[in-house]
Amino acid sequence: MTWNSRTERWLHTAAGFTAAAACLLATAPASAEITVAKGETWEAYVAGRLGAFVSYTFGDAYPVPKVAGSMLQPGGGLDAATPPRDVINEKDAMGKADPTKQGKIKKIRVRSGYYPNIMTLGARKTVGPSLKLKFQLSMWGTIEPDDTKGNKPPEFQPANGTRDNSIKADFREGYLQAFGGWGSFTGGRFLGTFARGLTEIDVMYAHGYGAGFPNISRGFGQPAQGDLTLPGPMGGMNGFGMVGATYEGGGEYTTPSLGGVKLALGLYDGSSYLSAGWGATRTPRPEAELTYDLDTSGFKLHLFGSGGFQKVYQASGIESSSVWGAAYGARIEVGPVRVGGGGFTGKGVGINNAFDDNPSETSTSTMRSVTDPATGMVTMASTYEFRPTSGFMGILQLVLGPVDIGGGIGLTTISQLAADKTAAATLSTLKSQTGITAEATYHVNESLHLGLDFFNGAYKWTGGETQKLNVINGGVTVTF
Amino acid sequence: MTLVKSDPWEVYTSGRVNLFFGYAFGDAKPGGPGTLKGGGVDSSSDKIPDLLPNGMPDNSKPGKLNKMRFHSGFVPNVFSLGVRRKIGGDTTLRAQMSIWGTIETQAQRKFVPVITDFREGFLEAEGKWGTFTAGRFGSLFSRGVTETNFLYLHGYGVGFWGGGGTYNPGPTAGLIGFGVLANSFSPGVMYTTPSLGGLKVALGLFDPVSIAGSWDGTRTPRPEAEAMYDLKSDSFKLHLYANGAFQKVYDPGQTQDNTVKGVGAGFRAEIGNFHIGAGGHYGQGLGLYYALEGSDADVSGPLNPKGKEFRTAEGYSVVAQYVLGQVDLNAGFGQSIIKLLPFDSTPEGVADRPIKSQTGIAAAVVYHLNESFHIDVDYLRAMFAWYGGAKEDVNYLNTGVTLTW
Repeated sequence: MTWNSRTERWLHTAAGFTAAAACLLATAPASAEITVAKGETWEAYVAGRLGAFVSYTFGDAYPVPKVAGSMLQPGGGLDAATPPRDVINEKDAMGKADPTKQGKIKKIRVRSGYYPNIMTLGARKTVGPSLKLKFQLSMWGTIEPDDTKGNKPPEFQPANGTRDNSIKADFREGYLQAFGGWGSFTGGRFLGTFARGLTEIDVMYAHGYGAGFPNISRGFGQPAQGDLTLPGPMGGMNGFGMVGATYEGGGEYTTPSLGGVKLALGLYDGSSYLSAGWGATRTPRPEAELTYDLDTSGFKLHLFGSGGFQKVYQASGIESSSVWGAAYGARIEVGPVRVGGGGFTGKGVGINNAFDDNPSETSTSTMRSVTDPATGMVTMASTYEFRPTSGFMGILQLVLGPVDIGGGIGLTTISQLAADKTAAATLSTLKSQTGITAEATYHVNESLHLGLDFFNGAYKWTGGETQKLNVINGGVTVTF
Repeated sequence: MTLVKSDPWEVYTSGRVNLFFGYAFGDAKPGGPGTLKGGGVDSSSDKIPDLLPNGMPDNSKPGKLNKMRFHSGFVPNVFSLGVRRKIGGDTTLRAQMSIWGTIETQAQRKFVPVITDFREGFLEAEGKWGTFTAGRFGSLFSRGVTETNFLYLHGYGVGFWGGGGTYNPGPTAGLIGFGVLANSFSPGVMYTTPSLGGLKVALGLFDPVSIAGSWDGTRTPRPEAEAMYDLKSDSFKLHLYANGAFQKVYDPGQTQDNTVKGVGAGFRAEIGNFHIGAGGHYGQGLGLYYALEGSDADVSGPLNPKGKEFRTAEGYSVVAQYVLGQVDLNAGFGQSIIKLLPFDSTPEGVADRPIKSQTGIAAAVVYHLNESFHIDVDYLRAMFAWYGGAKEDVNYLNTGVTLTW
């Protein structure tokens, strides 16, 4: 191995930062609750945050199919609307926009980050020696408006910046919890069991006070994916080596800690895969997570493995299939160093969010033949076979007093089915999503946080199309 | 729950969070005969089709429903915040806002937001002279029977999931649609007299509603009224009520107008541990579930020489509750009926087959662990019958927990 002088300088700098960090064994400040009322057996509290970020995205526009007459299967990329809204087209010989060229994206927004404005109210009550009750409600709202007016689909509405649009609050969280020495039961709407270990790594070590990539919810009937116009919240590292755990309706029982080991078993409302061809569910989705925690002075370890399973059905049809996913990983804190990594695999496990609908998850080319025994006539039925999807990610963070710095990488891959290869001349399917991120957060105090993060997101399709984007986010967050 | 008390103001909060598991099973919605108007449970997504000999769906038959959900109940997650203070004499000023949100999303789309519903927001001034209420609050017409459904049957339960489809978000409907025509939270103003020997009269003026798809135009507010009589002793409580509403509606771009009108009446009584309530409604253009919401069953078809003629709707329900210590045993029965017009029997009108009746039978057991924590198991059988012979029967089995404060 040979090092050039530039590499050596970088290593010296890194070593210096590490040495400095070792002297500053500080823990990153966390947000706190404010007790607003207290009785003998109960207390009520509020918590929340407000933030604003300037976000600059630049890079390639949504690609043009490489094979004439073919198309890209929806579900991946950024600004995939038809017609695209944020593309800066190349010009043809006549000086007009040339839609046959990919074009560029350059866009600045002022918006909410990975977490939008949040208002939380909760209360705890001691009922007896083995039973405590808690409830918590949280409302989320971005600072940027929804550009959808009335009931019309967003694609037919004017772009962002519509000044008179209101903000729709999202009743993101609302759950009750009963807990004691026997464990805990949680019911209502809360962060789901599957893949939450991955989300915790992203929040704690990278984007908790940042923004990341704009992989966002785009409304009813559309997959969550890259979009610069519709409101967030932003997606952090979701979609790049990890699927983000989501808030969902359901119930979960968690055992007490047995030597650091906990088991959580949850049942959640079924998730429909409307754009992936599976619009109906009949049963809830079981999810489970096994965790191990070790906490000694100067060393913390959290291991997790989670899984989920659900049957899906074609709306009013006879075809059925199953989605499943497994996620795993660890996070370690040694002095000022925090490292987290993990991965996921499954079918229908989601592209950007866990068990979320996305047309990239299924093949439109898979069919099965049905023979009428009376006539011998053969008809074909679409089976929308799920493609295997997997990913892995890793994040490193150094805590240097009031400053956190870090970065990470993640890769999500979607495998082609045999039918996809046969149909490759007409349909290019999503192949991979790669993300590289870096972040720095300065905690002015326990309540005020300044964040700066960078995200490089790269998409590849099986037809050879690519889209590469860079996102720089800088902003401020107040937590309480 | 009082949060802050600082003379003269008091700030309080109340609310609930809950989770229910539900299992719906029975018939999918039939396709005919004729064009079914109103009623039933939309099964376009969740139908399990009967099969042809070749294994393909037989779309000539209704098929079945068989679906489980985790969702919110009759009242979803609610956060209420209010303030109150004295403003001289015996007058108390109060303001309350309530935000509602289900735990389930639209059409089971996992990553779409739960849109917060600013369901209630009103101010209230109360004194010896009566009570004045303004803002968005529960309206008067059909209020009494809705209260009965909440108090004696589904306040901590689920009941009917709604007719829009088993995949839709709630909140669920309890016995609404089955003899119970629910009032709704409406913008308006209301004056309620002080109690005169137990008698009170409430008069309200509410923002008009358009009857979607038939009589969309409105020009004037909707008056509503309710007369109530309350009698209380140590072991006996009685609440009698009668209410009504009417509203002029217009056909946009046309010269015709029509009037939506309805009356409701009923009672609830508490004799020791036994509680019973009954009520009903009668009128035209009232809808099937929520008062004045509009329904395909409300009006006749376009070939009617009398225009968009309102059909008559009526309903009645009986609900009973027995309080056994920390356990409530609840049961209810109700039926909503749509009456045919003369036009509906003519050759031009017979193609449309409105809902004839919606019959519901419900039962619930609620265990109150303490004043805050409630565990419910409830069942509802919904039976829909259309003119022309089509039928749909769906059963709902629900269980869940609610935490209130």
